Amino acid sequence: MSRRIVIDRVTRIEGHAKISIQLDDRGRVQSAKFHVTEFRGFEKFCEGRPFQEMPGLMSRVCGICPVSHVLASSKAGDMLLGIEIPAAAEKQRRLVNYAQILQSHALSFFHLSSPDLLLGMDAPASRRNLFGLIDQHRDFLRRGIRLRQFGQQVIELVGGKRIHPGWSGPGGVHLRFSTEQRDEILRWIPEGHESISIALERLKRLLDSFRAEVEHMGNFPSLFLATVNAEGGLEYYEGVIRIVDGSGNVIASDLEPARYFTYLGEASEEYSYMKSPFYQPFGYPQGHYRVGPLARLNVAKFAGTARADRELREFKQRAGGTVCESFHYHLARLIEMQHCVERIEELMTDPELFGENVQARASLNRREGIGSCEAPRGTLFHRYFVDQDGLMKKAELLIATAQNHQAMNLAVEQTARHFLKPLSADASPDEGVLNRIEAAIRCYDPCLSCSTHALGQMPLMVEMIGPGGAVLRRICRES
Amino acid sequence: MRVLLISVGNHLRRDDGVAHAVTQLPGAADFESRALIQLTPEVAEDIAGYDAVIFLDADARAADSNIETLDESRSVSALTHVSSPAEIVELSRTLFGFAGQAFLCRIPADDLSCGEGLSFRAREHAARAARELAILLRDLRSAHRI
Repeated sequence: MSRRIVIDRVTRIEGHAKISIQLDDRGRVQSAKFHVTEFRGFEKFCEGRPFQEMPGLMSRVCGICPVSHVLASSKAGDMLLGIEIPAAAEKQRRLVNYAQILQSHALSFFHLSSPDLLLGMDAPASRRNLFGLIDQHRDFLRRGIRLRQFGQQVIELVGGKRIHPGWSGPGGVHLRFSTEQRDEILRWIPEGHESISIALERLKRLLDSFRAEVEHMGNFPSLFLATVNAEGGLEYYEGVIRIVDGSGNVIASDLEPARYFTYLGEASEEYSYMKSPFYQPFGYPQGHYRVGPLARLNVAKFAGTARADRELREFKQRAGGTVCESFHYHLARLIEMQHCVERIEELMTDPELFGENVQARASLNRREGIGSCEAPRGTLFHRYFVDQDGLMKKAELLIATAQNHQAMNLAVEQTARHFLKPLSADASPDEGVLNRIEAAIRCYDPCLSCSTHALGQMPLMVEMIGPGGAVLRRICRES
Repeated sequence: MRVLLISVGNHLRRDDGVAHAVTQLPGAADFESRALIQLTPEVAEDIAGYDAVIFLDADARAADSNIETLDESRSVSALTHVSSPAEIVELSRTLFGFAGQAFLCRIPADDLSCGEGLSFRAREHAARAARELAILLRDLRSAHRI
């Protein structure tokens, strides 16, 4: 008799999701799926609103990466106006984007994944959390919180507030950058470099004890997609799209982000609200691709900053080219954090950042606007259609987490196949195995929807379901 | 005495933003407040210098608004993106030396759909929560003077 195991909900990821694992009649893993059960509906909510309001509205899509939505939305607005924004405005947007990637990655690495990494995948669930780190890893934990604070501080200083900064909109930004802001930001730089270096060394030392996880928790060839600059270097704000395969071959380069809908398609699966994007020339599902830190480091030829370039060379040597192990998203995230602190430091001495002109003004010149940027979890696209009065007729969002959907499915399936041993009808999966399955998802740091916040704990639910759909066994644990 | 009100929620998800409305009502509006969409770990450092911190949040399971003292247990929410007020307080005490009092004000929420504006029930509970908050703040101030 075949059975299905459902892990509902996945803990320590952003949003609501569950994992189901179909077992065959001998208790072996047949297939695995990652389901997204949260439906947001923000695109519909925007219809009829003036396009100038979109950055403010779109920032409410997410409480973790609001800046990405503000930037993609502002850029779509720039296109609707048909203008190029002043250099000072672009530099501010870049600065805040670096800060956001820093704080978001800090949350992912230090708070969500460090319990797995420092306490071990098999540590009891009751201890495998932030408080479990306090006794032995207090300084490490404190540094993680301070790194996040650094990123949030930059966002607040420049954007006016931390969570939903409304300082950027179509045409540029609303405030000039001051020397007082610069001085405040510079105070954080030495601590930022030090904390990230400590975390990098710590993680590299730990990798040997996670050989099985590196090898079997989402290690597969795929396409990787990211934005690069004109020279092929790491780029987060403006550039062209490049796609490489698992062997490092360049599949496509110099693709226009504003034409993304001509080369990226979106398939729907009945088991999830989340779409499954794919590279159209390869078809679905063969054209699935990965985005985010691992993809960006695989796609970019260089980082463009000293520390990050040193780490990037070592990173690429680790796999002899393209890094296909999902586990190395963690390492990629830390290298990106290092790059972001270096870029923030560089910008503090860039005279263009302090320019007086921060806003270009124009009327509506186009009916369709597209904006893209690299968000913490990968490439983000916003596409807007407006009427003659500039009121929103339609909004399409292609978010980073959706682009990793198929990869997350594969990672879950591979992890389950390797670590979940055949189960008898009345046996429960081992706690450490369930955690590894979740940890495979956490590598991608998916952000499914943070738009609703409510009090209350959400337990991890594991259901074993028979072929007729009946629940044979239900395991509930707090994590 | 330094008191910080931290309201949590998304006002574009209707009643989810009810806590922000409470901080604008008489009784609470005179105090230092911060509006957040969600609690994240760095808030632990932010609250460290205050004598008292009061978290306000929508609660879809609450029948009535109420204010409770936050215990110091190491409770951990299953989804870390929703750091609980108790987690924040405990992190702040352990890592950043917070030595003040901490409270949680739960405000019942009915409608968490996309949109603006509060439901009738949420508005009623917001007013009630503001009154309870005013009493707590008055008590805190008198205790501090003593």
